[in-house]
Amino acid sequence: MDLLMAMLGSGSGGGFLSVGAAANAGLRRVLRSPVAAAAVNFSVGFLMLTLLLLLGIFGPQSFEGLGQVPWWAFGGGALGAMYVTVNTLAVARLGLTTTTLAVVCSQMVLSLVIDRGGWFGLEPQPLRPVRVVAIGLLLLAIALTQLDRDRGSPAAPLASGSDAGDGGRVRRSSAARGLRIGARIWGAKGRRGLGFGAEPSPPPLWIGVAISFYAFIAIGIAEAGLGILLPSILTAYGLTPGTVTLLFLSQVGGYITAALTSSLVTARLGLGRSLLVAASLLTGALLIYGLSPVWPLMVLAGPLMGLGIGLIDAGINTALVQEERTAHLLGALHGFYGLGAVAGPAIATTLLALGLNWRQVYGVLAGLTGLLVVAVLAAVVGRYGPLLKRPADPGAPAATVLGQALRRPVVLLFGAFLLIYVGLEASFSHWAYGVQVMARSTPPTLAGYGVSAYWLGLTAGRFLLGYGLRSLGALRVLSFSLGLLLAGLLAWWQWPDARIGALVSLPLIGFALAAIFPTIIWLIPQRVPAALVPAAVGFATSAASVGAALIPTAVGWAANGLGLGMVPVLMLPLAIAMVGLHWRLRGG
Amino acid sequence: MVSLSWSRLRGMAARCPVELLLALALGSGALLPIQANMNAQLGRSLGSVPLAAALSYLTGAAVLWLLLLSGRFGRPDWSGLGRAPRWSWLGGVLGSWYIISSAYFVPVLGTTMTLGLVVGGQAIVGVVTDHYGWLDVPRHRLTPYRRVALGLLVVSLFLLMQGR
Repeated sequence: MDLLMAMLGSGSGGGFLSVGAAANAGLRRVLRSPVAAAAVNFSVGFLMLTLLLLLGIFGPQSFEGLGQVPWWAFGGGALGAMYVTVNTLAVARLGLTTTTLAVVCSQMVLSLVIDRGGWFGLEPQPLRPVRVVAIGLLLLAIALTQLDRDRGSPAAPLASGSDAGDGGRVRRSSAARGLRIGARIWGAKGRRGLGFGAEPSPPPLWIGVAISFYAFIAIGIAEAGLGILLPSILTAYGLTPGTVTLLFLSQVGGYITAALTSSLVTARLGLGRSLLVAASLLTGALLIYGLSPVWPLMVLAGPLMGLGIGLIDAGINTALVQEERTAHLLGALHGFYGLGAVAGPAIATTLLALGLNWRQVYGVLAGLTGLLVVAVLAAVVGRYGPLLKRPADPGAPAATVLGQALRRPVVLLFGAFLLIYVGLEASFSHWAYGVQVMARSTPPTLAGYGVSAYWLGLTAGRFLLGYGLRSLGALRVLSFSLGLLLAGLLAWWQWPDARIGALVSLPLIGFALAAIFPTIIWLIPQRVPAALVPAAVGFATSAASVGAALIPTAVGWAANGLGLGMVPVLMLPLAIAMVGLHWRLRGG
Repeated sequence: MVSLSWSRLRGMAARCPVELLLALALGSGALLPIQANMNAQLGRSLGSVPLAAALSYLTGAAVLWLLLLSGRFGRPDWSGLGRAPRWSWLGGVLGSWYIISSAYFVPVLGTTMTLGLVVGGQAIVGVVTDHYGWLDVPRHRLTPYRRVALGLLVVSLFLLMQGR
């Protein structure tokens, strides 16, 4: 079967159906009855087909086969009639959006079941994951077009006693109602939570906070899982350790784009929609990683992944720090990123041990970020207030604001600080294990404990940060952290003994690093005018991601020449550079 | 009197829980692949898909007229028929192409792919008619949102093809 033919054939069937539905709406309007319109519709269809058959357009016909027709095969027409009737009842109450989604959803799922079971005398086809993904995307696309239909319709009269068949205006208003009902069903809690209806009480914060925390767990997992999968990817495509770094570098392009555009994107789309786009990009990139038949395609997907992560990172950091009620949660937010980063390698290792291949592991990771897409979509559909908010209007085009922000030395300072900091943190997570095992011949288990102790220190530090900021203030927290960091690095360098490493220096370094990122973000609104905050946070977090991609690579190259034992020494100048930046920060 | 029972039915629909209506909508969606397969079987047995489509329309129309005659579905305003735009009669003509093509392609491509393509075509044409406001449809411009949706549609249809 020629595929093009098939696409044209059945695709046009759907297209005609769409036009037919629009035409039928005209009929419904004048007849004031959807069922009558459908009856006319079916009769016209029958008459037209009969005419064509009688004219012999379809060639000679015979009723000889009539005896062999199984009785149930005559039911198709009746089912069509039932579909029309039930559908009009549902649309009147659920609205077009919810009804369409429900119909397409059950239609496609049952199709998969029919194909799989080989019902109706057809050949059974196995259930392929690609198809499930395809249908998921199809549903997402339909949801997007239907949601958008609702957007921008100026306050349609919701309370009108709408007749489903009453054409445009009512159709839209019932769509709006359906959305809300859909949101109620899909998990958002109760009426009050969604801010619909007349209740004026503010939407609860915990939904947004939960989504933010989950988003950070998800990006932590997505970023950290890669390390474990690298060896498998290496062998699958026959790469060298040198070429595989292309994967990291390709993500940098995305991070840089995110750095320069995140504030523009959030200003244009609002937080919820930009998170939706970002999470979809991330999920899409992970899917491409998993499904890609060739290596260059994976590299090409890198920028998508960087862009998705960068937008999520910047958007959520900005939103939390700008809202007084949530600024104290920054430490916990980054703590959850740490949890994700700890869980990512563990999840990937476990799945590999269970016998999945690396492509399937990417599928699982895509599923985890896909959950984020679903959660954000539900929040956007449900009009969850805190996510719909746009950043404070700076009174100038977003690009100008970005330019103003970048001209402020303090913004560049924050960016440089985070670039170095995240670079150091990432170098640590990439190389600490290697240093312990290869350069110091520590037994692998003890080295593993050491790395875990590092992450433990980091996570503990982040969850304690709120307390530290309250009692010491941001600048003192930074001084304290940098002092501890220098002490930790010196200890790690000078006492190579594995037990000291695992018990003292590594957890100390983790604890010292914990505060830096959230504290810098917390400082931005204090040092930058409110209008420039989104642009500044977006720039700083994305500069951080650039550091995460570039500095570990540079450390790796240097260690190649100097030996892995020199890694702690290589990290000292980075820490000292941060001390210098901190000194500038205190001074001005 | 007659319209009373239609409003009673609507009233019942308005009172019954949303979950039930959602189940109803899900159920009506599930009818479509079954319908396509039934029509396909009819076409196979008769050796002619157009003939099967005509028979299918005949039974469908019969059921709908019966429903109307039962009087439970409101009293349509038949006098309005003359005022209807002429193209609004086209619905049935265009719909029959869908019935024919789905009955023809389901045995060849499988149910999933056929209906996936149908839904895709439906959405794409829907976005286009909305954009230009053809056929008196309320006009909805092509927003960036919808562009993304179109892209997703193309990707998902591409993936559906991969499944073969």
